[in-house]
Amino acid sequence: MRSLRTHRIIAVTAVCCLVIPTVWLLIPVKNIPASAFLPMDQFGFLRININAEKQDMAGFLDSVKSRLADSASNRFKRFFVKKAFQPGLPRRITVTLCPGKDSLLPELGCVIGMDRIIRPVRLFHAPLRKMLLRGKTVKKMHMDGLRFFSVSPISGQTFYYRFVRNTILVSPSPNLLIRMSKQPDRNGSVDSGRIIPLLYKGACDVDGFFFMDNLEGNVTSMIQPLEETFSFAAFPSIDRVSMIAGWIDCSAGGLNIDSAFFTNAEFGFAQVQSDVRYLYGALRRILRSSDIGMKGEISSRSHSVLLQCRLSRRN
Amino acid sequence: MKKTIVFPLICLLCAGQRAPLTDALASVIPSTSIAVVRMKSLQTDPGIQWLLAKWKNRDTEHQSKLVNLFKTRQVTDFDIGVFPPKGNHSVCLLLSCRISNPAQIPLDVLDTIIKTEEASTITRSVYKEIKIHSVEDSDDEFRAYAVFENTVLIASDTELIKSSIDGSTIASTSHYLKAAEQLGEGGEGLFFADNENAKFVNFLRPLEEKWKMTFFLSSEYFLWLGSVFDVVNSDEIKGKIVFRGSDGGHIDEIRDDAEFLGETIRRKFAADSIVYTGSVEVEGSTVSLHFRLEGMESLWNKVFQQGLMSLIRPI
Repeated sequence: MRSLRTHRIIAVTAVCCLVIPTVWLLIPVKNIPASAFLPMDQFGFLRININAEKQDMAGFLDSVKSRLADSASNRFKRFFVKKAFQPGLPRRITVTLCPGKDSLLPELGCVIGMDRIIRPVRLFHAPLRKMLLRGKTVKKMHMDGLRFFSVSPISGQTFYYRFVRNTILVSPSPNLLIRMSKQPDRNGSVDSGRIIPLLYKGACDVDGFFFMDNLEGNVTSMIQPLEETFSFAAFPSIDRVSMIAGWIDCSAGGLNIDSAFFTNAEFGFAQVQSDVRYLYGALRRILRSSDIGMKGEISSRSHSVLLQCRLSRRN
Repeated sequence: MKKTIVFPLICLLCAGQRAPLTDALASVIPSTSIAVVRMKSLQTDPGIQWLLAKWKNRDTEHQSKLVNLFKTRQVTDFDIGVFPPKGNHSVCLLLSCRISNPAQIPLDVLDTIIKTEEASTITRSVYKEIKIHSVEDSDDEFRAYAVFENTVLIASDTELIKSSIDGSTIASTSHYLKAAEQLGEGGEGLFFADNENAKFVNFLRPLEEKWKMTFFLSSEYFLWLGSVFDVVNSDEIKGKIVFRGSDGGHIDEIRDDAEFLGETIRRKFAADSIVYTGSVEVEGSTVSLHFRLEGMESLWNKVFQQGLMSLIRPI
């Protein structure tokens, strides 16, 4: 009799400890599309879709995983990276650019779509935080009725992040983080009168897509102060560029990037070509210092300058 | 270090194209040097005279101790050899100056160049009948000097003076001789960097790591880099920079580097209203960047008032 009772207790405990968490982990989470978090006034974005089932993407992720595992300081970390890297990856990463409120430089926000993996991430948030943000100061904060975390210093800056359902929002600006969290429309129909949300939604089937709208001079006001600060004419024809758009495709262990710089006038087109050529040269030299090779070509079609290139690791 | 190299670096930008390169002065710089900067006809060329006068009248805060030598004595020519780092020195230098009247060579002025508050005792030793004056444990860029005939040698290290006395000069190396031939029969100033076994490129590497940028994508394909410049007047300089490829196989990469260098100069100085005109020429395995800069006077004033670093420091 006593033994039967013990067995029942063991069975109930097993259900509580294993079955319930497993079921909980498997229950679909309410999916909020990343577009619902994007601020109305954004003038640019970069969207990366991480589809580990795609063969080329899987190969690329494998190479990143082995590099991370090789750089891990001990056996446990190496094991953890090998086992947890792929399942722990976000499904989508979106970086959004908004006009700066206090300075000419834009504000930057990041929406990381985790889908179901958000549950173990939130469950093991404390140990993960300790492991991934070692040496950084992490503080719990409340602002505007929202709870979030601050991390400092990362490249001399403080970053803020918070969880919203299946998503992690990250930004160096707490105000932008609050704005992104409080977006009124959570159905993904943000400011449908503008082209950016449409482009954003259209970019769901490619590995990566980026877009910058300069019709209102937001990109110009981002670049010109930098040129003045460093007294260097890096892209003096930026005011002649109306939009910049590009596609990123992961293939055969590298990245193919096709980008187009659309101009709003024929006057100064040659200057835009020259600036894109210089930008390409500078990027090649910057990437080479990180052992990344870049090869590409520049062409022009009607009112746009096209830069097509391939990035791959040297050695 | 910055103070001392300002003038030679300016001189690098200002050398003319008349006197032969392979004369007695260059022959005192040992063959182990990575690069040589040389200036001639300091007392006769009007452009150089103007620059010298500006340098001598620079405010004391940014002034080098070397100015005393140039102020009190008639230095007619000088060479600077650049050597790999040693001890506390991130770069070792050997300066060789020729003075018009050997009887005038001033030991007291030379003593003040190597003396510091921490190292005020000068040790005098003799090496192959030439007296070497040096200080111990000084962090200054120059720690030793020697005088023979009408030449003064000032160096970061006693060993550099000894190897200079020993012979084996850079002027006798095959690359230097070829550079002399290619750059033309003469020059008030020149720059020569030996890249055999990637010597010059490896020397630049710490700077590249700091800036996170590779300066020359074709670094493994050129044997040497040389330059001759002419200060036409206070407002204008012209000259050429020559890259000698190891073979004709990678000439496009070298050409790309030369074009990028020219564009960088144009974009850097555009903000200071300096007009840059340049062209790249390919002949066999040699790539030459010919250039002319006009409207330089305000830039010279800025450099002499705020230092050479003001060109790259953010405003």
